[in-house]
Amino acid sequence: MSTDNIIGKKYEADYEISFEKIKEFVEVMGDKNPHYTDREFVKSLDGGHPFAPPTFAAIYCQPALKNLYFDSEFSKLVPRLVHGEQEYNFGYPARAGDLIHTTAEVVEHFNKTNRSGKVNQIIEIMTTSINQNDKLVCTATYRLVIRGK
Amino acid sequence: MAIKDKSKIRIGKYMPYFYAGASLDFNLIHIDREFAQANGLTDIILQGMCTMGLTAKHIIENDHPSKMKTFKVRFLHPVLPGDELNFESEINDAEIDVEVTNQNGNRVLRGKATIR
Repeated sequence: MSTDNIIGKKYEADYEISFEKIKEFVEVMGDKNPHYTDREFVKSLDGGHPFAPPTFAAIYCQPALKNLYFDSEFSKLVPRLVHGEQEYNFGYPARAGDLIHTTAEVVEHFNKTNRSGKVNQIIEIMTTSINQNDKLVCTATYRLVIRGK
Repeated sequence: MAIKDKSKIRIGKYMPYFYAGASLDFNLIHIDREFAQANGLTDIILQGMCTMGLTAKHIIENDHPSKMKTFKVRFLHPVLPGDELNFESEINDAEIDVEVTNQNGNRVLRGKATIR
């Protein structure tokens, strides 16, 4: 099995963070932190817009990842994909009104035998997200497992 | 000295659908039982990023979200709708170790965050 033909695949996309999407997200999560939903409270802190929760990164990275998932080589693997590990490094805070540009690149792809003897494929994707002022908002590593049959 | 914190959440029956709508993660293993079973799972499973998000919420509570500098997790066991998740964390200076277990005592997530 060829396991290296997706390494180096790279996609990028923009995502504009809306206050409404932040509110939808935190409502589903049952998160009542006022930094996300209370405009007046946040304005009183620094005059800016409400913040996005750290793991909102999953959303602003999604358009770039979606392009990758729909790539013909990668899309075959998606039905047996589960998330193995996830790492975020947060820089400048993401806030309502920000335009986030994300680049996603496949950096690793190899086979690994699990405890029950199945051969899984491991895929690592790195994303870099910057805001409209070229400030680094987040870098992430997605470690995905393509479960063997 | 280490500070310990605990919280508990029940994952509702429709949580994978709600999270799919909120997060744009419409991978079919989260929303289509037949598809999930045809691909070797017992049922639809919750998005790992949802479990990670709930864990971040446990850590940040009502503090400023910028306090989270890094956050790394391993997903150890699938989370199913109806599961009851227990979050336990321990803070040592700027490092937080966190573990999430389900109602059967299975560890579903283990992670580490650093705070500023």
